[in-house]
Amino acid sequence: MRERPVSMRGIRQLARKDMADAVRERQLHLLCGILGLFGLLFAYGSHQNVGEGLLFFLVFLAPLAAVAFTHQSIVGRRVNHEYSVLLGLPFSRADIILGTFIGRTLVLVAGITSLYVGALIGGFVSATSFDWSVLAIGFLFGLLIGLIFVSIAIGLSAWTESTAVASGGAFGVYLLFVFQLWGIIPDAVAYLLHGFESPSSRPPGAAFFESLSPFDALGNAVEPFSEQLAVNLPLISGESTGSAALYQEPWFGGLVLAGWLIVPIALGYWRFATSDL
Amino acid sequence: MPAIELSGVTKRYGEFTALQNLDMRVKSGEIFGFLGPNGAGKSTTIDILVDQVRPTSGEVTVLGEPVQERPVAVRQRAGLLPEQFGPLGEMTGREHLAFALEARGVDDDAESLLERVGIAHASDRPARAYSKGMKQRLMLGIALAGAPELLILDEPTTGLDPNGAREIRQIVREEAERGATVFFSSHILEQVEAVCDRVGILHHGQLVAVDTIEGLREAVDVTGELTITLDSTANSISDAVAAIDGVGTTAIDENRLTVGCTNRAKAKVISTCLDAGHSVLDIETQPASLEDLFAAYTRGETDA
Repeated sequence: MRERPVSMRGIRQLARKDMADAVRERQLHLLCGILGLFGLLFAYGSHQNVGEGLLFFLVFLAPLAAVAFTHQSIVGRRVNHEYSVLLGLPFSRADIILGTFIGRTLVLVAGITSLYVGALIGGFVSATSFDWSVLAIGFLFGLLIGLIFVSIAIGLSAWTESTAVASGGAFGVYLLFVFQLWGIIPDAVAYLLHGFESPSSRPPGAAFFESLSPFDALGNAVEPFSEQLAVNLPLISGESTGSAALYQEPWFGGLVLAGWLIVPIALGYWRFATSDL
Repeated sequence: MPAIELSGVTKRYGEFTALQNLDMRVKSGEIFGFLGPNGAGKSTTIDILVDQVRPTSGEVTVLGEPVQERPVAVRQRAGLLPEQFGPLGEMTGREHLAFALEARGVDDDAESLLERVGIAHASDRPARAYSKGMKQRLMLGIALAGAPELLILDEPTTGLDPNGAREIRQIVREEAERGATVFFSSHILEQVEAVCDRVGILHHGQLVAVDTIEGLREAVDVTGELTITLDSTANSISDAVAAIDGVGTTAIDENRLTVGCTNRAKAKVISTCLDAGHSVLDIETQPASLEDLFAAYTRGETDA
């Protein structure tokens, strides 16, 4: 009789350990310090639309923080032989992946909370008024885009046995979106298929492909909550066509976000669970 | 029910075969020494026992649990000291043991474990800063946490001075008295010889011998050493001794005669001395060392 692959007790203990590691290694202090100070100065200096501005920066910062603090979280402990010890205790490999994900999630929540607390303090000092609903929506979607990159970084970290591949891969994916290279992929493929010549029109499906970017999906998903937040979002590759296609609907955006959140970590887990440590 | 049972276990890494059709049973309650040179496949076997490595083929059962289907149950009931290990993050020694006790769901205090493995004086320092020997002791403490039914110790005495190695052997004996089974790997033969009930010898991924130490000695009539101290110079009898069937080498130092011979030839050597009119003042024998046994087995294996 095969045992259950996860236990809540194991996940809880490993999540607490992961969080405690971030505290012991001063990662948490660093992240909260930087983001808190940034929020404080930003809100102090800007007198309006603080919520929109914070989300604008969070779209860059949350994935960056997620990648920076997560890319070594599995493979680093693997090459240090920490798992030789943990897998001598009653934990499963799924406990390790999920415990690490929850631990990193808590670290990210703490960092983003610091950003907003800093912003509230800065705004209070400079007597800025806040749109509370925009702040709350921005917080949640900023956290969501951060968690997607926690999933990507953990997935890569669990997939590979090389610390260099884990960091190169995670930062590479981040830069792919920051430099807006994602939207070029369909055109590049078409260019290659046409024998190194640009085709006369954009390849079919290019707009659909663009909508699969987590940042485009974020824009599409945020729209019904706050149109003002959605139009100010950076890193969106798809152009807004007047009549929204099916794949630009908010529900489709939500689906894409869910996919980015679940698929990378699931693939990483599958590889981690089936390989020799 | 055997504590450990491997049947037909093969592990290949690409072209390299680390374990070849390994069959092995460790009885419940015994101290089993798992011997072999570095690279023989000992650590691969141990990694398979706790499902850190998956065999290419074969069945593995630990404490009655099929390890691949129920790895967490095995890890709950068996303590592991891995060959290579890293401290958990920046935890102190005490935090490590508290963590292990919590994982096994035991309400014990880390203090007594810290004292038992001899690192109580360093319990509040980060384990990362420990010496090799202290880390080894800490990892043994983690293995012992919660008094598991089976202890799997991979080279537990490496990195320790002779005193430390003796302490580890003492702990192994105490654990066996408590009723635990101990599976103890080593490439240092004396370490195993001192504590084990039975020994298995692994060579090139195959088990070349399993027996009690006594049984092994009998099975292979290897050369031991006999030193006889006589009342006068031994020169006159050296030829007669050398002619005895089973005698390999003779060496004379004044009135001391050292003979390398099979166990069966020892009595004949002594009676030859007496027949020649000597008085025998002292007899020292060194039993065949495990090293000799080991060499005999593995040499046989390579020749085959």
